[in-house]
Amino acid sequence: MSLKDQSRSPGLLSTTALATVERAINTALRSDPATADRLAVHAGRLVAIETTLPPVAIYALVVEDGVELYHRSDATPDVAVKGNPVDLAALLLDWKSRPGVIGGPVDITGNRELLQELQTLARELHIDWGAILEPITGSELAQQLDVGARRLFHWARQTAGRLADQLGDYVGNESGLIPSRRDVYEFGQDVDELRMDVDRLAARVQRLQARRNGSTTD
Amino acid sequence: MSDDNKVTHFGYQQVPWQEKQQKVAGVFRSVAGKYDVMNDLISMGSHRILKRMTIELAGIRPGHRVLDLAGGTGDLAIKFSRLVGETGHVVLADINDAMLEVGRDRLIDAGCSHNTQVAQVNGECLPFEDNSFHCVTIAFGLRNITDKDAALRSMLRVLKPGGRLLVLEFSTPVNKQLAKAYDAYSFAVWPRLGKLIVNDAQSYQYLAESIRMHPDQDTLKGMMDDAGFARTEYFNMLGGIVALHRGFKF
Repeated sequence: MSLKDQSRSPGLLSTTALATVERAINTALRSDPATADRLAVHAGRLVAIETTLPPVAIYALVVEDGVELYHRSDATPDVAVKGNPVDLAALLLDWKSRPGVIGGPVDITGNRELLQELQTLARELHIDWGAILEPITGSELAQQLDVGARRLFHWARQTAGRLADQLGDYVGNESGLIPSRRDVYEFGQDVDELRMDVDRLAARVQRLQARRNGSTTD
Repeated sequence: MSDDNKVTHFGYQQVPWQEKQQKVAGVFRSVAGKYDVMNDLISMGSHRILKRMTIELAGIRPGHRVLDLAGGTGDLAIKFSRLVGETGHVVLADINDAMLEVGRDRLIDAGCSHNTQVAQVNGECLPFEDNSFHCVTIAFGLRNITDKDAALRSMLRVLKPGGRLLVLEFSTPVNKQLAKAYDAYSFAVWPRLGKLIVNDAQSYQYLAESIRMHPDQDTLKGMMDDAGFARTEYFNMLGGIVALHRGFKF
């Protein structure tokens, strides 16, 4: 971390938001002891998640009773993932991917096995937003908000899937920006055919040259 | 002036220099059992966020040695214990035995006893070797130390070259309207909450008064400079109600 980064004042709102997410994850883990136990095996491991736009870094430290989230860390992460937020979400939350649209390149450095295990655990974990909001809103509203949040996440996941399909079709079929697998295959065939034609032509030219040279000497 | 004749403040009262330590000890013995609950109530939970921000600026890495001074109930020490890992070491230090007892139990309950140590120390003369810690933190504790200059010098001494001190402490609001509202809230509400929760209004009257007697942001930064810290700076939080000061030893 640069000195400039270190001198940046930590933001109250972003720290509060991060604390809320951390609490949500840890509450979910407390209600799912099996997942919590599988996660606890990785206690002490640090995962860095960095989005490129906006440039935000989150460091997740696995501890014995859950996770701790930080905006900055001077420690070297065991695994680091970097990409745009949609591609990261597609990778981490197992959204439907479509190369070139959603689920594009994500830069991963470090222990990929650890990342895969944590991804699996994250997908199996169900966060109870109602339990987190209940002290603030009361149980009735919290329950409604929980249902709303689940619908929102379900909708987001489905929408992302549909978006991937539709954009993929548009980009691949209609706009012609990205070639289909068949186009690439046919293009490859054409190139091969052209290469062979050129080879044949070169051989013929050589043969003609040889004949011409022979008649000149005669 | 000899120490026998010197006076200092204990809240708004003037007390003999030697007495402040005992009076402060009395305050914390009285509230130790419900210290965290009271902190949550009077700060409306914000002290946890402020401590998180402190941790983020501490730059702790695995293998580091950290001294959490005036660490009380161990909020920071537990987090540090996890950040320094198996190869690091954290010392939870406080002058008050009652607070330390609560802190030690919490460290054990959190599974942090393997890389932590609990020590009853006076911040003005730390019983640790020179250059022995990568980071020293003191959260909401410097205000209660009688000789703050001596404490800052002592903290500098025990820091390794390149190490850093973080002081999280109540400070002076930057906005006058906020200062008025904060005064009204702290003097009217805190002692009543203290009476209600720990049956001790006086300790929280002292808390409100001691905050007003504590050096403001620039004065504390100057004190850190004078003690020998380099690259000192501070971050205002909650409009200056709390400030986080940081300085390095080079």
